[in-house]
Amino acid sequence: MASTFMGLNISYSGLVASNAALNTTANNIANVETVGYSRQIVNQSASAAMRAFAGYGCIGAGVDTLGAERVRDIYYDEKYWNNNSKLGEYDKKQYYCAIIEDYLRDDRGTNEVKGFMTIFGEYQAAMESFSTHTGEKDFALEFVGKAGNLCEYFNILYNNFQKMQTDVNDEISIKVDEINSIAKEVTLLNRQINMIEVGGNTVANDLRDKRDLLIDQLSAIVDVKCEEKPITDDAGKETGMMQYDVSIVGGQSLINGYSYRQLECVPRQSWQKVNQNDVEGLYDIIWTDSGHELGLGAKNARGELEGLYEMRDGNNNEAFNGTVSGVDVENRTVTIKVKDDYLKDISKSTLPLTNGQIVVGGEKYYYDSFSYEKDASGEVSYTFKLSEDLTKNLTTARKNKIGQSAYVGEQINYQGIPYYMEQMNEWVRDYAHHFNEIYGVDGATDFNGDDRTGDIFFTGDDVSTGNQFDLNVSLYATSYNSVDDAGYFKLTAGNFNVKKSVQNDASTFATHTIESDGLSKYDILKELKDLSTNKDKMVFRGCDAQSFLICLMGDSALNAQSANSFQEIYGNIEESIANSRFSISGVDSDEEAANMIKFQNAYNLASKMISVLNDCYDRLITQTGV
Amino acid sequence: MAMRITTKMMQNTSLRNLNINKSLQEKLTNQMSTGKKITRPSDDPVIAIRSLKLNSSLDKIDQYYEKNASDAESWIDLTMSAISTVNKILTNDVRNNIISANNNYKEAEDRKAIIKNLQQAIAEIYSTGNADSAGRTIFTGYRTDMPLSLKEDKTEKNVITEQLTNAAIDKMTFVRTGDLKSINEGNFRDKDTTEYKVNTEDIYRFRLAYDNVDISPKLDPATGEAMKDADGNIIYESNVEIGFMTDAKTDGNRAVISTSSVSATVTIDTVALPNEAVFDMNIDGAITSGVRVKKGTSTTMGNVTISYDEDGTIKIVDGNAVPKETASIGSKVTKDANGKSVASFDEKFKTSLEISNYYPTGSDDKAYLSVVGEDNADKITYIADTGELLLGANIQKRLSELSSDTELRITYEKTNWKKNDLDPVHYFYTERTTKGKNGNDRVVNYNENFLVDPSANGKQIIEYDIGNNQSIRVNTTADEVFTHDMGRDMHEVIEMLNEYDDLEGCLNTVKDMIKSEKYDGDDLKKLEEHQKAIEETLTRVGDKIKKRTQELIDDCDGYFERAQLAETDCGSRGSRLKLIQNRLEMQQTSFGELVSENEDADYTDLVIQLKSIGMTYEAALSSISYVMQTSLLNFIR
Repeated sequence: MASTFMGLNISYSGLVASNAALNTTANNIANVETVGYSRQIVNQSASAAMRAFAGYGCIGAGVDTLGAERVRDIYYDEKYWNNNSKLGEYDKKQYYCAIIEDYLRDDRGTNEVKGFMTIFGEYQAAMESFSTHTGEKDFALEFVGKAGNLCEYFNILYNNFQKMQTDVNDEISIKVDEINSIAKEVTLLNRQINMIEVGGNTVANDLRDKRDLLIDQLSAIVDVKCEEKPITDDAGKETGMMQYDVSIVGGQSLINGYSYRQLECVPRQSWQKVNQNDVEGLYDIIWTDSGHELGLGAKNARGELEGLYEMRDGNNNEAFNGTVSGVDVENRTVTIKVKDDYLKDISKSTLPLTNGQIVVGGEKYYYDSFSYEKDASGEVSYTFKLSEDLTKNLTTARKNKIGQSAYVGEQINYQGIPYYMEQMNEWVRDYAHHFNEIYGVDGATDFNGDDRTGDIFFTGDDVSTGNQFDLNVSLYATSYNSVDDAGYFKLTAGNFNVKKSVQNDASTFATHTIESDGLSKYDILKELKDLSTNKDKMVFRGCDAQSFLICLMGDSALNAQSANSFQEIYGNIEESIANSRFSISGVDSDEEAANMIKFQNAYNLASKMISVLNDCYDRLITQTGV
Repeated sequence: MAMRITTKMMQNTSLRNLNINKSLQEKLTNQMSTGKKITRPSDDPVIAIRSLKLNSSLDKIDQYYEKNASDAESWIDLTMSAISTVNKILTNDVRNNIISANNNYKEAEDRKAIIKNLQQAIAEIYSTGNADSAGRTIFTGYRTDMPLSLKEDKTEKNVITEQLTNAAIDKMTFVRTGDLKSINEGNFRDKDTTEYKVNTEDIYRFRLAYDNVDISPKLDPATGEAMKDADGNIIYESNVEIGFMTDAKTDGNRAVISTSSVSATVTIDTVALPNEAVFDMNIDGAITSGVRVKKGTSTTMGNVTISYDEDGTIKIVDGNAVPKETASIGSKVTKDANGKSVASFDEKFKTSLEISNYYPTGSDDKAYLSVVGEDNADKITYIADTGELLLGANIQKRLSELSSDTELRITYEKTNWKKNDLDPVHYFYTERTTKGKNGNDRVVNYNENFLVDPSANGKQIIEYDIGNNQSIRVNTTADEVFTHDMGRDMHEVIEMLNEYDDLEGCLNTVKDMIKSEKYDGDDLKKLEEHQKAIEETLTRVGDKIKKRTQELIDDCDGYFERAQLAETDCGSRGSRLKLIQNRLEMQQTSFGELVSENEDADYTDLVIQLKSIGMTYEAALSSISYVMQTSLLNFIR
């Protein structure tokens, strides 16, 4: 038969269970506003029944309190992380797209912001008035002034984009620091969790919550993948400890149990540029241990870091690439044949003119200059002169590179900052070229009757010499050298300017051909006017010259719109996944209030049971048979 | 089972909904305060881009309407008023005075008045041509900084090429007076009346655009002194050329040119014989092939000289022809796209006829008589002060037989310019020698295109854009209103009246001499003969005046018609401009409406939306306050 005092034990176990439940409820209530906290419940089960060897068979032995355990579903965590990476990417894109939109703004009315359309409109109006008052100096002055404004608009816009690139670059460095610190913290938590959980009986609820919260944060920055697997001892028996691994950016290991890897931002040197328009010191992100690049260009890379990277380097898939067709070991040159149309058009060139980096057959080299060659059949090849400086290139490329692929900068299928800069340059080069062709026509004559044949009006400031470019290589040239020649490839929206001599003396502006035909002849001006609207004279992306902003604003508005809508979509998804997580793990104050009463009652009842049993024992021991 | 909903979830959801509501409110209040449908392009790229396009179109319309059209209007108005001034002078002063000359040339007082009036009229017409719009002369095409007629006398060498047709040959009446005009008490006995058979000759001539053209004595290269003919008269010369243009039948590097007795095929083979011209000559049927002439040299074959000048001109001087003929054609050696040298020829060659006589003045009968008679039928005479080229009968016949569209070119020089002379650069191909910036002489060629394309003659048209691909011509060019003939005609009237005056003076001298009764016998007889001759001359000159002024009245009507045509043309452009201005104004309004429709917010709509969102907002607020405040704890006692 069962022990006389068994009831007391059973009651005690109830008391313990209720106490644990009450404490857990108290903990839940206390953490109701704690971010990342998962509600906990006390797992309990009826203790194994005892055979009483009596007619009534088995007797219950009370309750076993197994422990408090958080309520959480890893399935929703993974979904959350996945989505959070996408949200993070579009958060950043949305932010910077809005800035680009602001840069390209052109508003009328009360909040007037003079953008391209307004400034170009004023420039056209000045040209129009000039053509009806050809030969009057003040109209020439007005026109040259407006042309200067146009140049300045591009200069400012270009600088704004460069500044923005610097900002994005700085933010990339901050994000990399964040990854590093999260990796370190998670590793620390891994160790603590295992210390608690070793043996397999306890669950480190709060530490796990903390770790999951860190992964939440990490998932906003980069795409993450987490894996937790049991650690077994030599005999293959589970130890209760777990191995927690985290990998980022397409499965590259960041955390491996108790060890973690660090990332590093290495600024590119002035001779390591991949794009003519890039600011100096752009960061390459590399793994400190291996020296390999993080590789944000990977297709499935996500997160804020990816958004920043695409914004900083996004070139709309228009990076330089081609196949090595010749190598001259002695002269250290590599010749590369290109196929893409945008590489055959000088106005679209984004190659650093000097001091660039090029990857030839998987190896990185640095070049001093390059030359461009277009043969009679229209095939284009570039020949790069690799630097002889040993700090740059230890060796030169060998003949075995022939036939292999080469590229300068990665192909990034996003319209980021470099894309907009390329577009600006393309317009500026095209427009300047066509303008100058008309302007310097045979027999061009200025106010003073001086011959201006072959002169140019739009040019660029050469920062290194303080002079202005001659622009002696036409856009349609079949060959040029990036250092020796000063062609339109040197012109950028940043250095775009009106020729100084005309700025200083507007009467040297050429308005017509044939000096003796008279001061008011305006044939050159007429052609120039036509240049803005005639697609036969200049085409920019299938539109006329004045439609520059329409094209670019279209890009920026659509990019911003897509960033906005994706941000909203992923924001909504995040909301709903977060809700699902809350639904499972969240603390509900009503529920806890109910639990409080429930467990209080259970506790009260158990304690009442003890006093009842106490009475029973009292009766039995002190009063029965006495 | 329903999903487990926690208080926190409800709070979050409510807050989020509240936020959505707020962002809607922000958007609407933004629209309200800016009055625009969108605040940034990404709100609606279509509206944003359309707005750019519409505003840019509107800007253009503003420019066309407010600037270009009103500039054009003022230019056209100015032109109109200048032309009507000219018309007024032509009818009131010029025409009436010529009629008066026709009727009253016999009255000395009337003649005086007519001469004065005509002189004033010319000056006034030509200075009207200098009308300007804000400092830019309006009748001078692109040369708005140059006046149409000279504002002061000047000395400046101009080589003028007139491009005419044989319709410009005109027949003048020449009354031969001998040296009657210089008669006086001292010399009347020496004058032989039979010598000056008073008669009238019809003479064919080109009247040049200018009088007082250049001439100078021909200098003996050996002594440097003026050369004289057998009678002891000084021989004159001038750079004058008269010629006509003929199709050269060019074929690449080959051209066929000819004179009366010579036909030649000229080839420039840049590959085999660079710097040489090869002539296949046919001189009066005698054929010589492959005559090579180096650049800068010439070769003589009998009376024929062929040459290849440094400037590329190829010449054949035909001494067999009467008068001597020179055929010339321009050639060019240029590089083609492949860098190869190719030779080409002008499409036409010029046949120049030699000028036979040069006279500084027409007051001498000899000048006019030099082309009269069978002996002089092949002669061409140049008279400097009257600006005439007289043609012998054969020459006139030859030129008249040319087709009516054959271009005749007369090139001459003029150095002395008077105030109110029309500046030749507005009319002709002119080589002007001016002082360059460094003080050296510099030759400027005006209107070179006339030589290539005579149909382009003088048209420097200024057009203002007043719409997309729509422009209006604002200027009227000088040739439409102001012609050299106007001035020359009036001068002719003045000259004829002066001639009459002079003769009348002579008559009076002779009459006085007779009346003085100092003379008798042979002297008296001679004087009476003189008187008869002068009276005969006066009658003839009177007839000439009568006839010529009649013609000139018709001419004057022609000028009037011409000017009126220009005025009408100007007026119709003015009214077209008015129409366009009207349309532009409408476009301005309708485009303004389009812009507003595209981008301006609709306030009624906005207010209603804002109101309804406000209500939702309040409802959301009260539901949140309910969710946040109540929990089970409130009910546990």
